[in-house]
Amino acid sequence: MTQLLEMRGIVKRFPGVVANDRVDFDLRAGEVHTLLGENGAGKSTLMNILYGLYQPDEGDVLIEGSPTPITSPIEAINHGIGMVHQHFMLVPTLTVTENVAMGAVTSKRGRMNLRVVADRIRELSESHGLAVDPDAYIWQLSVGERQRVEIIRALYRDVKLLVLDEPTAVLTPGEVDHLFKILRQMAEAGRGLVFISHKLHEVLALSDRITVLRHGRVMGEVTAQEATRETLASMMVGRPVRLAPDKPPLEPGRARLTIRNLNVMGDRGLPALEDLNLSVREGEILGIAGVSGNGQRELAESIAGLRKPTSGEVEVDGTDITGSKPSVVRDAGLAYVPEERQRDGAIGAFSVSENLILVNHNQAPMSRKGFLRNGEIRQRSRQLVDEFSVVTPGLDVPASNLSGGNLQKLILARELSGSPSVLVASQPTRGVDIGAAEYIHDRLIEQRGSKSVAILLISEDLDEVLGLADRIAVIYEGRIVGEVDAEHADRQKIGLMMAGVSDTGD
Amino acid sequence: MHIYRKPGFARLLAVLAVLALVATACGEDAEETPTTAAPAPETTAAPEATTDEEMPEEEMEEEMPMEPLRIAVVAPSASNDLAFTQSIVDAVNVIAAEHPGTDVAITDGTFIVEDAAAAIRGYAEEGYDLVIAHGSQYGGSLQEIAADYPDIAFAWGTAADTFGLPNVSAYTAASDEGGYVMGVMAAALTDSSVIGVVGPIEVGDAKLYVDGFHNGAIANGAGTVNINYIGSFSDVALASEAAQAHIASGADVLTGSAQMVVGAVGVAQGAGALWFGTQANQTALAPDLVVASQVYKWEVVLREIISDLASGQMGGEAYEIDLANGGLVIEYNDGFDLPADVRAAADNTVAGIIAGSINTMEAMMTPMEPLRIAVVAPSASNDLAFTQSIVDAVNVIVAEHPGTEVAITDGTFIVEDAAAAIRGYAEEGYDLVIAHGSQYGGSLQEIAADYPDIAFAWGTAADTFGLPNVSAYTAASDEGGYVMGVAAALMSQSGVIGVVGPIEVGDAKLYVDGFHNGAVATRGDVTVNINYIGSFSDVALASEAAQAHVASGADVLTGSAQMVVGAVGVAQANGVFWFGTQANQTALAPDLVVASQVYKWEVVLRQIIADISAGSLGGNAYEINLGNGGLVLEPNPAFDIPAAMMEQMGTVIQGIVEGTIDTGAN
Amino acid sequence: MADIFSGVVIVATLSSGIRLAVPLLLASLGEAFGQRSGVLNLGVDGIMLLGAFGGYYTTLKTQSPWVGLAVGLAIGLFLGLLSSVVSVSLLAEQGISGIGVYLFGLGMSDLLFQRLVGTPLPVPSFQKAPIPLLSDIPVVGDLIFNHSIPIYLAFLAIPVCTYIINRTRFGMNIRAVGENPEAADSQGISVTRVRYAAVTIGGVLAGAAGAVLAIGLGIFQQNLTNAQGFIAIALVYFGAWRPIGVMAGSLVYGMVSAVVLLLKTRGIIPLGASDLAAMIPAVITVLALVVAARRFRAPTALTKPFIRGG
Repeated sequence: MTQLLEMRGIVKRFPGVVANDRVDFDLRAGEVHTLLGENGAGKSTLMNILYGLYQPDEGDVLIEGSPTPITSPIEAINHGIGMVHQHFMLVPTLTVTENVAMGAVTSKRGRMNLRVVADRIRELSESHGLAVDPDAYIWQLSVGERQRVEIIRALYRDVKLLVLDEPTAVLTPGEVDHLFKILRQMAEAGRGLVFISHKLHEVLALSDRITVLRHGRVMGEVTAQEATRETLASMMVGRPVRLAPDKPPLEPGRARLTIRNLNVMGDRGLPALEDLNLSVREGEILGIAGVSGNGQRELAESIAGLRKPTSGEVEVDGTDITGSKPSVVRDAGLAYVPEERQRDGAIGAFSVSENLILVNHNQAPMSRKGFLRNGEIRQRSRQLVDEFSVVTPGLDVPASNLSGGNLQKLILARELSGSPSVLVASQPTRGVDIGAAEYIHDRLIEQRGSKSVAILLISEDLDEVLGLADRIAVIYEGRIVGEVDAEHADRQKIGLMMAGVSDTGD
Repeated sequence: MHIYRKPGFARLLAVLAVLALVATACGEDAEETPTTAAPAPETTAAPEATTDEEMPEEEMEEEMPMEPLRIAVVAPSASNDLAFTQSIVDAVNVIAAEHPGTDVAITDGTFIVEDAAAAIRGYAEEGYDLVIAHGSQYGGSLQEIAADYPDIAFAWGTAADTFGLPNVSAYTAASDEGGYVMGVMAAALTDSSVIGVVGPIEVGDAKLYVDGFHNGAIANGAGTVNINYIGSFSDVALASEAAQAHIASGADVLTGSAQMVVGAVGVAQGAGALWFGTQANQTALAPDLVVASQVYKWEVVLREIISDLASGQMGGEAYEIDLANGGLVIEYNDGFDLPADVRAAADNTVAGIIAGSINTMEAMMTPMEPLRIAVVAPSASNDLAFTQSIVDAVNVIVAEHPGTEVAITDGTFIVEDAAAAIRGYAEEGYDLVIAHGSQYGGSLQEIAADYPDIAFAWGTAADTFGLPNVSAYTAASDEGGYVMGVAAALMSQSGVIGVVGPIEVGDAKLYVDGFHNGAVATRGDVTVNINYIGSFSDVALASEAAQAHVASGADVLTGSAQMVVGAVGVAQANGVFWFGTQANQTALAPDLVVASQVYKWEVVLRQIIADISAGSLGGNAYEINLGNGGLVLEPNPAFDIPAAMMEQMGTVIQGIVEGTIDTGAN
Repeated sequence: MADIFSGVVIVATLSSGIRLAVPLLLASLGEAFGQRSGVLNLGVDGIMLLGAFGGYYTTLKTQSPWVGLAVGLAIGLFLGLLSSVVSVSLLAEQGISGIGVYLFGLGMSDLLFQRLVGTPLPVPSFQKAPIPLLSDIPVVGDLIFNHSIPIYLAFLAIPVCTYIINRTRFGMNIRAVGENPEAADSQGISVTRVRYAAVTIGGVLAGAAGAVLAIGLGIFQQNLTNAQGFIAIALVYFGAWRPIGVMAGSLVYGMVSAVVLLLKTRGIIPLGASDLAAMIPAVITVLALVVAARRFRAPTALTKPFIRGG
């Protein structure tokens, strides 16, 4: 196999931190080489250097054997390097076709022949089973669909080397299988793939080789055959890790969250939820499994008061909160961990302590007669940060400085501090490192054990749903197409329901 | 222009602005260069003296018999300028005639002092016996050069100082004496009782003449002597404009000193105003209208200097020409029919001065401290409208009170900027701060209360806020508006007249109302469409308002406030007549402006200044109107107003002044 | 007096509206380019003023309005580049730096005018250029096909700008850079170059707007634009950053202004209400565009300087 890429002794320093410390990494044509590590381990930095977004302080990049400094994405593209970023590099107000055409040469003299591009997209999406409407705007697409656009863009460019930064975080097991099939096909066609992930079983399923990074250093390189989940996890974290939470037996109480015949419109003005019925009891975790874009976001938003239903009822702890404002919903006892934690869950420019009191800053003891009381706030924040092990340089740093896992812990701390009766957690561990995910899972189990909270867990990570939920409801095209007991759950059967193949009836 | 201070980027802009300013300034320099080059200093030898007059007796001491003298003259303007330079050149020629063989060299046109210095040094180097530096501005250079050449004799005029150097003579003219005589005649000859004086810079000989003239005129009953020092010895165009301004202010007798007045004499000729000349006989410039000229006979002092030289004295004396020693002569224009009594008065005055019974420096105006006046106005100083009217008026005041210091902040259409400027001037201790904009009232009220020792004037407004240090001034612009409304009604064929106004307040409203009433009173069938556009500054909207009037059939338009410049253009483009107000707007539509109502705020400013000199800082409200000459209708000379209409307008004006016609506006 | 609904009066009024709309249209089209690329240029009015003075002064000196217009464009080009340097390369706070450009233009145009011209003198304007045959159509012909060439060009610029923004690579790059500069950068588009180009186009059109205004009026005066540049910026927002939107806004503004003028002229709006009526154009325009454009939102990266990896 030809050596596509060699990165030698890469060092990249940011103020106060060495993001890459003498990292060696190589990639051959036809293989999938995984970069594994916790968030902040330096995987993305290394790949951003490869893509020309950062310049290394030391070290060399060799493409097909010759030293090639890459100073901008244009050069990376010209060398046949493609990248699917974790935060998608798509322009929401442009169409799929325009995003694919962006930066690529499609015509002469400034005119664009977008029809040709659209035709090619249809071709690629058909041949690879990547369903996407070329004329849709990105803002109308779900996260999963957006990723397909990114992969189609790489296929459209016919890249030699493709970097995928956490691509499975947003996919269903079926989609992951499908993606892996496509990625394997791409590798077999002679492309080299760099796969960045922290999901151990996926890494093992897809990779040829695995390089583990921790704190910017290479902890080791292993082949997939010789690795196990446990060895990889301990290489990543630097200590032995417990991979599945222990769950005490179920003791459900009365229903705290009830949804009846809910109908909701999506962004495109089409029905997103149709006659949806759900009920969650205290002391119980109901998991919503489903492929991204099947109404999960709309469901969470309708409960949280962020989206007005066209009909139906939502009851929180006996109060009808259908179509109410978020503040009313909160007062009724709802806690909400949103899917887009950076956008909806926290205010990046606000400090850690400001974010911690965001929803109850107008209550005693945080404020009196309209004035915030700084002493109380600091004391309260300090307590929450300690209790939820939020790793932060201080209470006054902007929340945008926190890593994904710590931001999520902060949001969870805030949401749970108000003693809610219902908790809606949407994708609570997406993009979160193993240590933080482990912690968040433990917290959810702990809340379940308190027997006063009904927990609705919406996750596209089937492993997470299977591991935490007591009951699993599968959502497809805005309807609940099946509900199973977790104990008797069959991964295969759920996978089929997620894909709309319903043979169980409800 | 305002300097705005802004952090960061604005600072960069400020630098850019300064650079651009420099560029602008350089551009102007470049434009001026040719003017500098044109009258290049010329050195010409005077014609050989071929007179058969007797040779002067040469006195000899231990020196050899006196060699024929070599005399050099360096002078700032042209040898034939009919003024300052010509006076010395004529004198040297007389000397040359008296002393055949005298070698004369003349460098004229050296109004740049460095050029003159080079010429003076050159003549000294060449060993001329007498080098005459004819220009008070050459003093500094001469002092240095004379010290370097102790064997050369220098003469410096017009000046009284020899720097204590033994080889420098000084000479001067008591031109106040002739000026006084001329002032006497001017006072006797004026009908309007307004006399105009155009001066260069308030120094030396010119100042003496002007002061003497002024005193002679005032002592003999002249009402107003307007004096305008234009700030230049060479700007002929500006001198002409100064003369025009005097004419416009009603002067029918003019005079002026220094070489740049040649243009002003032409203006007098054109306007039929009488002219008194000085320094040389200026009859040739206006053969019908020059009454007399005070002529300098420098040969009187040159003879004395030469006799000093012959006796071995190189200098150290100061000489003077005056009426008594025949160095100053009043030359009358034979072509002008001077009444005998005036001639007699002049002769008596000359005799009185020679005898010492008349003091030319008496009858000066009660000496007043030079005032410091500041003006804050909303639009540009040359807006042909509201702001220009006050700026022009202040300039008239400056001409009347030499030494008055004026500061103008224009373009402050943002009231906060204006308030800052007003406060700034008050803080700097200006004697009179004029807030020229009714919108400034609120700010002024506060500021005036904070500075009780400063006099403020607010216009156009009738309210002094009950403050003892605020004067208010307003214009009865309905009066001129009424007269023009009458004219507009007579001129309109279609019977539709359009008016473009800013906002329905103050002065603009008065004008519009007066205009409307005048038009309607004259013709019952006339329609006057009035459009207040809602802005004092939106030129484009004013222009479209005029278009709307034209589309609605109007064939006569008028409008008030500074944004109408665009509307006048519309009148011009559509062949529609225009009546202007606030300033003479003829330039904007030379064919179609019929007449403009012009504001002469100087009428109220004079009253306010008189109050201040009398110790009252304000409290009064003043008005300009047709009756007190503060409002003047200026017809466009290029527009042929029918005589009948002119007559009717005259009747209406008279009616308004006498109170028999009510403009109906309030 | 001609009937208010007569063809002559209607044509004159609507033509008046078109003339009032054109400077706003040009300036807001230009501003739309910059804003679509993520750069808010608050200096439009300053550029307009200098374009206006440059155009006026050149016309005064050469007696050719076309040479004047060309100089106005050139001044706009230069100031557009200057604005780009400041907001794109120097990463200045756009709300502040634009005000700097405005104050610079306001002061400099006035200063140059005072120094170089002084008393406002009329200059020759653009000749009307009736389009053969079409201009003979009653009413419509006079209204639409009987204007000066710059007015035709301004309206022609609308489809051209729409095409550039929506159908060309350059336009797509502008939109991409204004929405998600990181994404554009990662796809090999130079954010800096695209923003320079967009802001400079904005400058050229603002310069043109000023020159067309001044030469169209045939006169210059201090602060000639009377803050039209700021109205143009508002029209870009209310026109939802689309050429057709800003055209609608400009036309509504111009037309309502003209109709209000006519109504005042005829005394239909009584004298007492005329000052209040001066606000009608702004109010109606804002209402109309807010209703029409409420579905749209600003380019996400508007006013945000771009630094790679930042």
